[in-house]
Amino acid sequence: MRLRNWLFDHFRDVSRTFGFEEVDFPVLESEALFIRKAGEEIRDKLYCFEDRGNRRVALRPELTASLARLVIQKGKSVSLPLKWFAVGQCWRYERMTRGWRREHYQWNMDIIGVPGVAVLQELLRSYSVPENSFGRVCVIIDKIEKIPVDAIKKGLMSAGISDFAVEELLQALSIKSLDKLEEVLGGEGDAITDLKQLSSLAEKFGYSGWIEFDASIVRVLPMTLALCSRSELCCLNA
Amino acid sequence: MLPKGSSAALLALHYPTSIFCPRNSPFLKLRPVFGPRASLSTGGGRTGALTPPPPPPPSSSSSDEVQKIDVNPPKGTRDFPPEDMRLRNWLFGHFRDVSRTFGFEEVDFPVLESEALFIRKAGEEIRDQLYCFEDRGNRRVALRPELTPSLARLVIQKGKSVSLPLKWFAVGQCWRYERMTRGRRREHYQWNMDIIGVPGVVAEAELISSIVTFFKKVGITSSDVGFKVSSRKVLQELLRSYSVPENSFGRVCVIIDKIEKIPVDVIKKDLMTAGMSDLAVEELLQVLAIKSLDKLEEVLGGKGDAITDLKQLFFLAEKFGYSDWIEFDASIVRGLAYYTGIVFEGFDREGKLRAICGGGRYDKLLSTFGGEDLPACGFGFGDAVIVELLKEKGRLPELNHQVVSMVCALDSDLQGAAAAVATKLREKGESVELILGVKPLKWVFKRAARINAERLILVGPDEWQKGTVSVKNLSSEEQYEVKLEELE
Repeated sequence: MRLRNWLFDHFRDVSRTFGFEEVDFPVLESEALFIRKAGEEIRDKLYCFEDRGNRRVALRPELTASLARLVIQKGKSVSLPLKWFAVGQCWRYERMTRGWRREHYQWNMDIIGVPGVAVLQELLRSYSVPENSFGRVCVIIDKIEKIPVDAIKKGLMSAGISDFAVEELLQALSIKSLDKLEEVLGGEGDAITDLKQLSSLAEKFGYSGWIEFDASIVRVLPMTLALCSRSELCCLNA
Repeated sequence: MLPKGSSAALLALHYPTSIFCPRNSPFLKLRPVFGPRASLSTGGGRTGALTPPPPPPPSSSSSDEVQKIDVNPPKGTRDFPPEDMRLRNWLFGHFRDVSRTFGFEEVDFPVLESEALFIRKAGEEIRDQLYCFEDRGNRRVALRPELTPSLARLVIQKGKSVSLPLKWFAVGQCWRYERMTRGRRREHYQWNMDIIGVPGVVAEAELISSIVTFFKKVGITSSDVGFKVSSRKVLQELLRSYSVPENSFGRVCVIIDKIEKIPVDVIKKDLMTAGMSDLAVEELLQVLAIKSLDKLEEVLGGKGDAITDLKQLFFLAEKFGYSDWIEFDASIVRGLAYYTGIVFEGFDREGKLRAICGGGRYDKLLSTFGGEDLPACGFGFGDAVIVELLKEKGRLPELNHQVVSMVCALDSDLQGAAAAVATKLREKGESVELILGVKPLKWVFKRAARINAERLILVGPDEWQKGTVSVKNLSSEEQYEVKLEELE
């Protein structure tokens, strides 16, 4: 517990240093909050059950969904941007034969109301991947180092990408330099601008030595953005 | 309620990649050690077939269609937006500070436990309202209704590896399942402090002292609240003299705990069902009405530990300095079956609120879990009534979001420069809100006021060229130029 407190105190101190406010939500949520068409793996491992009133509930597998729910609940009563952080326990259901943990604590920091464009979205768009397949495609791409490449290709093709586009997409995802990506995507488009901007900011923030570009990192996924009254309400997950 | 014009929610899923390490489960390997009542389906590492995952939402022709999701938390639970979180952190901060002042160590346990840990069959309300269910492996589990059984489980698990006495505290969320018609909460947080391995009443005295310390810290006085104290041994001795079997003891206490809540005829009936003769019931009810320790001594006679324990407690209370906070009240039994000695309850003197906290000695709990008995006592202190009390007394703190500096770039080329300034200050541990993007100054000032920033640091092109920034003190309204190297 001493170690946990030490760790969590650092999470909190850093969050406060950045001017973020702490929030929390129930560890138990309606199952519906976590069930989406694209998130198959999350569903398989969702620690869900029927409560004594026959409602489908689940121990949360992540914090972001609850955060989004609270943001929407607050509606116009909060002024953007919001900078919120949380440290909370998350759960998953896994067969115990694998000896894996079923719970862990997660530190989250979220900024709501600062617009940005997901790089991967643009990449997929440039390969004519239909927008409504994005989520599914991201889930597949995330497995790139974990399952054989043939399975990846098969998955991508069944998501509606031509085999030619699949090859090109996989090549693009292996790009490790921003300049090379610029060649592939072409000079226009926000992705390159954003990434260059991020790179320059990283330098000003003083952490250039900590980050590197890697096109295969799929961090924001499966992404179905909150469709609220105006487009300013989009989520940027750090 | 969804904001006007919104087409309902759907949300970004932040998918955690490899955070779970495939190593040993930190959970206790559950051996069937919970005694004869255990209907353990957990066994030792058996894995049943998994119930299938929940079905995907019904597919629709328009794949852009978004599901409507309730923006409220589940019935009976709470969200903690920033303002509520500040209050909660303030409260828990005091819980932890007091615990540390008394030299206690913090512990924690899973919010989900095997249901067997809480099944005591003594008719306790806590059992009727257990938030239990079958998990996907068909095991009976429950969201814990209290922390003490988990603590006992951990103590047994540690066995000889810990040196007594143990002084542990925890602040954890507890759950109950209640029909929502009553509009009550299904979860609350509870502060617990427990002393394991001290048989003497000085342990209970220490625990009450810690609660008194907490009250004083938050501005509550002995004219606001008090503690009613009694001992389960009073009832024990009485029941023994009437040959009521020991294993009915817990049940009898649970019945008596309801004395102010249900009609006395029902109490009498329940007591007789539990094995007491109507003569025994009458005498019991008389004893429970006793308000002075001396009178109790008359009635019970000089022998037996009940009187000695209570006298010792009052003696120590004086030495600890909280005599005016505690009083004897024979009707206090508390609703948990496992108390064996001193029991106490914090109450508000105006009589408007429910019990603020409660605790007592529980020397026989560990053996019900298959361990060796150890003397133990502790208390639970919930987060709901105390907040109501503080509101009543006008002592709820005003807590606002606060940062020291707000840093703002005056044009978009200087976003990076502003970031550098923010980083420099943050490295010194200062709280800094960095304006992300370029905003009109009017907007910036409004936000600075809202987050109670002490100063505003403006990064403008002319100044930046000179290697300076503009610093405005937001209370004095003074503004001056500062060299970047000299900024602190």
